[in-house]
Amino acid sequence: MLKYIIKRLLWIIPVLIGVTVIVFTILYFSPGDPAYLALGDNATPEAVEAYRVEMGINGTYWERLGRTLLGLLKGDLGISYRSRTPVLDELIVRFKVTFNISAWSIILGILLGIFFGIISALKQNTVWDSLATGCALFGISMPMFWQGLMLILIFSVWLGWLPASGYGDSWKQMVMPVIALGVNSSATIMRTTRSSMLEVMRQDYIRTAKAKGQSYWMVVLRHALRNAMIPIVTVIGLQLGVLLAGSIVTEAIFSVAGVGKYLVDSLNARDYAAVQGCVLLIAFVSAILNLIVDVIYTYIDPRMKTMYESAKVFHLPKKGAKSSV
Amino acid sequence: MKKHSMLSEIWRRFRKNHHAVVGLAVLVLFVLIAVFAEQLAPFGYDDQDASRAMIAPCMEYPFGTDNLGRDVLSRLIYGSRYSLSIGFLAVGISVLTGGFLGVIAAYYPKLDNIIMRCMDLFMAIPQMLLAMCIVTALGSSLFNLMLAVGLSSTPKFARVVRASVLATREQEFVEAARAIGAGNWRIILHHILPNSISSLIVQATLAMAGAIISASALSFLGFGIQAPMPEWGAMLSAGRKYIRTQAYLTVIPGLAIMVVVYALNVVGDGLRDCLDPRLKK
Amino acid sequence: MRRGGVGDPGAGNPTTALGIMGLVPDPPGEVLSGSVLFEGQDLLQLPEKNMREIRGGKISMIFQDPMTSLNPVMTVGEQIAEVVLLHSRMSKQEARKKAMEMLEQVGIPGGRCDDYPHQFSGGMKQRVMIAIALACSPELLIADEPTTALDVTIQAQVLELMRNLKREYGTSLILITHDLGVVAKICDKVAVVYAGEIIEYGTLEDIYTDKRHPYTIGLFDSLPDIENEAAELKVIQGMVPDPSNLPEGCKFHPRCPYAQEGCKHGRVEPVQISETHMVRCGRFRSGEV
Repeated sequence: MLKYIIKRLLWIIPVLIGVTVIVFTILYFSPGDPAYLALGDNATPEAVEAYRVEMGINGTYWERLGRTLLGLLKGDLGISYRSRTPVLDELIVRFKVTFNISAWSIILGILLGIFFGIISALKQNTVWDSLATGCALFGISMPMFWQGLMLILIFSVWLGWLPASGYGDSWKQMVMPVIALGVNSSATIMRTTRSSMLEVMRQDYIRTAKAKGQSYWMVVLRHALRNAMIPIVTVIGLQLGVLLAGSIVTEAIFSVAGVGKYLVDSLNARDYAAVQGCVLLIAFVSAILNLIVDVIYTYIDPRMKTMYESAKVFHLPKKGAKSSV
Repeated sequence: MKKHSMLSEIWRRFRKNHHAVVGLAVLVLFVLIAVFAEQLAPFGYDDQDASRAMIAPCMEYPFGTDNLGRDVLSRLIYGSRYSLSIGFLAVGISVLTGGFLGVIAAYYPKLDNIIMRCMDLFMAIPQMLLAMCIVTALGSSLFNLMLAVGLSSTPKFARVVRASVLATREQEFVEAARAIGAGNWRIILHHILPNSISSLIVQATLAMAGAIISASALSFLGFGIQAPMPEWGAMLSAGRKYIRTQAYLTVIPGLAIMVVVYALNVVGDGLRDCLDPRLKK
Repeated sequence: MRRGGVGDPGAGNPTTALGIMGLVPDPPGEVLSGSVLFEGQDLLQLPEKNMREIRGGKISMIFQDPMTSLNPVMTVGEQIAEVVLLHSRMSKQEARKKAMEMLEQVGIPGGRCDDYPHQFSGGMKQRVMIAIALACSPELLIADEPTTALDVTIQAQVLELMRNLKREYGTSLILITHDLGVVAKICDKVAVVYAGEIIEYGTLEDIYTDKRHPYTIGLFDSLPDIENEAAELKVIQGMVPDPSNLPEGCKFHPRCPYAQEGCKHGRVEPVQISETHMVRCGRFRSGEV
């Protein structure tokens, strides 16, 4: 098991290098010269050259790519063109904000999603079920940015209960971003929970558990939910990535100074070092989160653990282990 | 003949799901609106008139007018063209690219590892981020927005298609086709794809909903379609400034997005229920 | 006492067993009438709470497919201990010890109690199911085709095990099966079930040597005969009726070679033809045979 985790951690390194190459290449061919953008169109060639050297954006594609990758291996994400400070420092400050909001959102999403998913599955084809599935369908159909704006409209403009923007002064500022992000996830989690619970409740081992004389709720919680969790955990893992991306929109709406807003501002200002840093950070965090999810799997589903352990012995490719999820 | 009866069987099952039928009707309605926008819209999408700026919804302007005096209803009607074409074409791009890569990966074991590792790399970047970077690099226009949204979900489709082809190619009828000497591409086009198509259709319908949301989110953030084009996300973004005084400018375009996406999701769910054999009771 | 129920698939055997346990899936099924008497109590009238005490404690059940009847995410030890904890006042450690004992009883090393179901073969899983069923020494064990899903060699082992344990624990057994050989091997009394009704009931001897109901006769005739190498097997004509659309009168009349006009209407009451032998056929009522 430990060997598997180490293998997965090592795999993150080539992923990050690959992501860097992809993002670097895309941005390299983007229109707009950061030097002229920073110095104005009338800047002298010498000044432009000096700026490029300072920012490390002089030379050919390969020279710059090499420099970027070397920097990455040393844990240096380059210098922000705008603020002339190391991107990494900027990111760490902002990541705390994004992480805080995302963490609360996913907790909200998991609690709401699993709770209503179970209720909906157990009360299949009742009014409660229709109500919950209907709401979930609305939840996944609502664009996150619009949902955020509607929250502002209701709770700030009409009711005046919550501040419409900002972060860090009061817990009240967290409420709407967390709801905007979390409700979306909860809708997806709810739908998966429902279908997974319906599937599991039909299985023979549920009948066995009932035949043992176990009470209804213990059958649901002890036998059904643990089995139903397997696909739910997959979806939660996927939602973590969606959540990080969703924070871009949410932070833009609620003017929260997190990674998402930093990314949008950097893209608009053609601050490519910062953009690259943001994408890398998000890719890195998603990879770690995916690994955590996969480890959680093995605790829920013992069959996965056997698979990983036998993969160790027979050198099965990792892909084989994953594709059977 | 056989194909016909299969389609009517699917339709018979689909029809039982009333939500899905309503969703389909809504989609057809929006397609008609988009096609006949010129005939339906009372005004042009960029008819500015300062004298009638910011009129709240009333009889003459059912959805009100914006800060430049443009009729919101007309802009919404023209805007349906953007959302629908982006949804359709972006998914078309990802189905074609992803489908091609997925089939190749499933069929040529030597290329499988390379292609799927590359897809893993792209999957490591959240879709929205990737689309933002691509659209920045290409410059913002309708076509580039479609391309960005489409390409960013290529890896997802490559995975879906690969998995489904891998599952199909193990089946006996493919063996049989090979035994009578059919070539690789013949097998792929005539035997494997038709059998993977149902899961692909379901995925595509749901992806269309996702694509519309992503595209409007990109426009909302200023990366997609720019003013004065009446794209719904861009309209929302422009109306946002007036949320305290003219809330309808943000409420209405968002509702339009939601209705279309909701319809697509319901239809997608309905299709999955009647196409996916695993869910058959 | 050992009783066997024999009948076509879809004849209503397993459903009756689930009915005794109060486990008929609802929807689509619901027990509308009748009673299940067990130690003088009507189980169908018992409140759910008391019924739970009986399930797994006094009456337990073994299901047809051992592959899917065990919870894949719990160790077999936990699954045996669960039923012990529910029906006795043991501590968790004692229950675990009991689980290991039970595993040994069914011929699995107790040390495997921390293994998961996927690490066992089909026959061993059925042994685990038997261990769960017998863990609380039930008065009655209902086995629903316990060997159908197993290999022939394993079938014999599992049957042997059930027979021995039954004797050891003094448990009554209702065995539901399509396999007349299995019935002959372990049952004392046999009920032949058709379309949800017992159509013939008697001792093993009554049924095997003195069968009376046309369906029972047809059932035995359809067995391949080793001595007489006939090219074709005899079959009972027609199909098992749809349980939601049963024929009127005698449920068997559309397929019965002896059917008469009177068989098509009215309920056929059972006739006692000897002290132990009951048959439900109109021909016996009229004294025709």
